[in-house]
Amino acid sequence: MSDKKRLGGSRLTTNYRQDLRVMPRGPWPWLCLIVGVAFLVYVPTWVENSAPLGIGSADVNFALITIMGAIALNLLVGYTGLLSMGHAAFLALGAFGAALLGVKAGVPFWITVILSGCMGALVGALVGLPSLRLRGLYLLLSTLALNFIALFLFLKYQLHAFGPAGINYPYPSFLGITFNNDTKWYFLLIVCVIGTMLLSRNLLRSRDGRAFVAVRDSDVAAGVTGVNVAAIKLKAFALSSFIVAFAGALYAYYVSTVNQDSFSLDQVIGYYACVIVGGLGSLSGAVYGALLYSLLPPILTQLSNDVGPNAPVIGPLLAQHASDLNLVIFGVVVLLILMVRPAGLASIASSIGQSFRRWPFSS
Amino acid sequence: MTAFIQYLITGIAVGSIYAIVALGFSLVFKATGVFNFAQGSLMMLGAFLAWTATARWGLALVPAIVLTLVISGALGVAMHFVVIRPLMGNTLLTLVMATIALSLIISAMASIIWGSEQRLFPSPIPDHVLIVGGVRISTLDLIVIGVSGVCMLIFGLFFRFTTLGLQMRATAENSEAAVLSGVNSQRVFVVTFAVALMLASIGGILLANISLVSLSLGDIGLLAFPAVVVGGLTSIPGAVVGGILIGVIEQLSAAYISVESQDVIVYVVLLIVLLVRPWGILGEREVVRV
Repeated sequence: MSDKKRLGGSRLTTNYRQDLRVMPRGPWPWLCLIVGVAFLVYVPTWVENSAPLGIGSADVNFALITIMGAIALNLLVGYTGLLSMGHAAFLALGAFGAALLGVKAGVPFWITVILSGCMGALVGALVGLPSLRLRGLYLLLSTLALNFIALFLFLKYQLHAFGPAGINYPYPSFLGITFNNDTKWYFLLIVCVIGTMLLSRNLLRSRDGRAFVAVRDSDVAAGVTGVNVAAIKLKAFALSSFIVAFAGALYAYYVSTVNQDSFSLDQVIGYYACVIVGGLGSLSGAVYGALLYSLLPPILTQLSNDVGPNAPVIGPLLAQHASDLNLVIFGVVVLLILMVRPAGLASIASSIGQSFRRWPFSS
Repeated sequence: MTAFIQYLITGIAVGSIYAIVALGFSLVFKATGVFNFAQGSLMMLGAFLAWTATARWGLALVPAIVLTLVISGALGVAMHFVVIRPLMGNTLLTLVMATIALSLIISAMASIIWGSEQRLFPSPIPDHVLIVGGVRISTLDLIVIGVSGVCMLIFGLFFRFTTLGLQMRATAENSEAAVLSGVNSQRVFVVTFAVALMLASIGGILLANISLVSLSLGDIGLLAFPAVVVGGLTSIPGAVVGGILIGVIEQLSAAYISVESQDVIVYVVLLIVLLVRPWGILGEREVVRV
């Protein structure tokens, strides 16, 4: 069958492939893809053998989980413009789903994880209901309240069903593989992360994705142009919560013991920091932000080992207060990004890319 | 019934501390539109500063409090110039995030400087128990209520009868109109932040008298948000009413439901208020023009 159709005497493109043919891109995308995949496959061996900058395999896996959370928050905050403080609750909800289905009822791992995500989506749509009435600050506060309430309920469930020590999750197995070490987990998580990214990217190019952005820019204008604002807001909440609950279930299985201290407002704030530092409304930005946020602590720990506790000023500070120092640095980075480069690391990366592409002519 | 009155009085005491913190919060929000997430950690900072001045440097209570207030006022000025002013006029998220970042920095610095252990504030206030008609009342609670009442009165008089107070109210009401009538709004903003941080510190010092000084005071400071919203985000007296109400609700639910549920009940109340009457008890209904 021919791609070309003659309509009214002119050649019209009728599919995406024909559109792309206008801009020949050469072998570069394929080359990048191959190099990228090769790098991602190489990462676990690299990290395990040489621990670059003190980053261990567990840090990489936590970073991958954080990337999912940051993408989910970015879909809601960066693309749809809805401020929610409730994402720790959805992580907890995912862990709860995993406990209920995977641990108590013995449902297979992959079904458990997906069902936990769906539970997240359902609750997310419910939590999104206030967003139809409240906006901005009020929405932020109502989700903050919901966050505390949900974490309290999670604690009650944990104490009731599992006791104060927390919930223990078995090693999950999927396709005959038991995920009992960091390398296996890495491959599972990287597939999930890439899946999440592709899902989000494609979604944002669809009708709903454009409606998200329209609602963010002006929900009244979006409504006037025929977007069902209420449905779009609920969809954004459901999608974002699905991803976070999914990540929460994976997180619970990965860390294997979860208790009331595992989820807190700090995580939500951390996700916000990732999104802001990476760049609001940018998927790659969420990745940069999450990587920086989760890989900075091991780098600082390594730095503290390198300089030793006897180095002037910074030595004892690093030795005793690495985690606090990490927060201070991250807080300062967030402030600097907000003031100097509000579009975040993603915009810095893209402007570097631009200047390479236009090389002889770039400033 | 006597037990109920006892809880009520403790609730009012705790609530009046929230009210003071919320007052500073609401002042900043009204005048500058900045939702100051850092108010809780600033309250904790105030408590630690006062503790350091008294327990470590051996100052008497009054100079210690004056020193704390001066430092926190200076911090407020610094906060305005370094963080808020460059970001003024940005979106809500930007400003919220900036204050969240500040709050992270403050709590982490406090953890580096003071560590995570709990400190006992050398409170000079006698903690006796008065028995009035069968009701046991702690003098500490009464003094906290009295001091907060006096503080609120002073700030109320300041707003009502001084030029600066008038300018602050004018800026809060309508900043453009205030600028057009000759108010130096930048100066008003600076003073607003200084006053708000002083209020946070006063709240912190008062709280230090009835509980231990530790990093978790910052979380207690978060309860200023429900207080402000329940009272009405756009109303300064609302912050006081909301603060006291939240304190009472918290104490009563600790007494009659369970201790661990006290904060959750407060957030349930917050959620209900947000859904039913988002503008709060004393606030004005926001009418947005498209």
